[in-house]
Amino acid sequence: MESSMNLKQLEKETYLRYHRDGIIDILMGLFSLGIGWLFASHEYTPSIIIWMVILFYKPMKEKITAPRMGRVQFHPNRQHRIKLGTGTIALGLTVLLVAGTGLFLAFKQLPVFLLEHAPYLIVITAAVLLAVNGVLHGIRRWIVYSVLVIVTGALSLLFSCPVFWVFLIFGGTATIAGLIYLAIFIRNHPRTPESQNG
Amino acid sequence: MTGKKKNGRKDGEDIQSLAEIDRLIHEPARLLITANLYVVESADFLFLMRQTGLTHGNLSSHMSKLEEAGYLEVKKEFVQKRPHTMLFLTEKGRRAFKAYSRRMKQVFGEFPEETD
Repeated sequence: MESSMNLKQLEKETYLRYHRDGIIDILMGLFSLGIGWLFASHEYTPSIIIWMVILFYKPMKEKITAPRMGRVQFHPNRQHRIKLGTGTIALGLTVLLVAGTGLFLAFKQLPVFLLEHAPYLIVITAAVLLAVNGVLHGIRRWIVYSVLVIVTGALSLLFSCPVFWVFLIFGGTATIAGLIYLAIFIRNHPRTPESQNG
Repeated sequence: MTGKKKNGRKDGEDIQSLAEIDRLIHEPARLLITANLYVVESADFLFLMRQTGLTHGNLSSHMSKLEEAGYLEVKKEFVQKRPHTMLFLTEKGRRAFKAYSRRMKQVFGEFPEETD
């Protein structure tokens, strides 16, 4: 009861429990696997399909999480932090896009250094975004993912290994971790008659 | 022989205020419900069942008592064309929970450490 009465902790625990279904990890992993596949195959046309992975988040949450755990709306403070996290991601991607376009317009083509290291810029941005969101939401495994991305990125640069391995390793890890979380979540939260009645 | 403390309250006043606590919230199951609803904006029945570990019947009866007191409100809505019930603490409920938590802190805050 003592720990339950620590309201800040209770709110945090509630939020984390609601997101311990592995869905974000699976989608993030699939997205990264897709990016890795793009870099490996140099087939950039299907990139539009990879972005569409994000669209599966809400339906999956509705089909898997809500019937097993119920629905909850968090406080405006928490919603603000979610918006801040999403805003950071949007800002990171926009900065990359604007910087890339700006450099392209200035030099008529991207500088050789950037062309050679562009994937590493994406690696660093991904690591920073994972860490920032991990800290903002208190999801520690995202900080671990961020470290994994930095370490594999550094190793890839050190041993001149193709950078797509960084995305494939992170993607594979996040997808497997997400599937494990999902299996545990489904085992711990079976559907009940109440879930049918709403 | 009732001396005054630093905060101006008389000796024994803290412990006496224990008798004035809100019994509706003080009941452990209802305390769990109100605490869980206090930290979120709203939640549905299933979510509260999962969070509190209470059975359907138990949760229903405690919720009714909180609703009767005006601490809790039920909002009916449709999710994917199916009726769905969301529950939230009213302003009165939030105030009552805050007052309850303040009173409990006041009562136990200055309790002497247990000596073996």
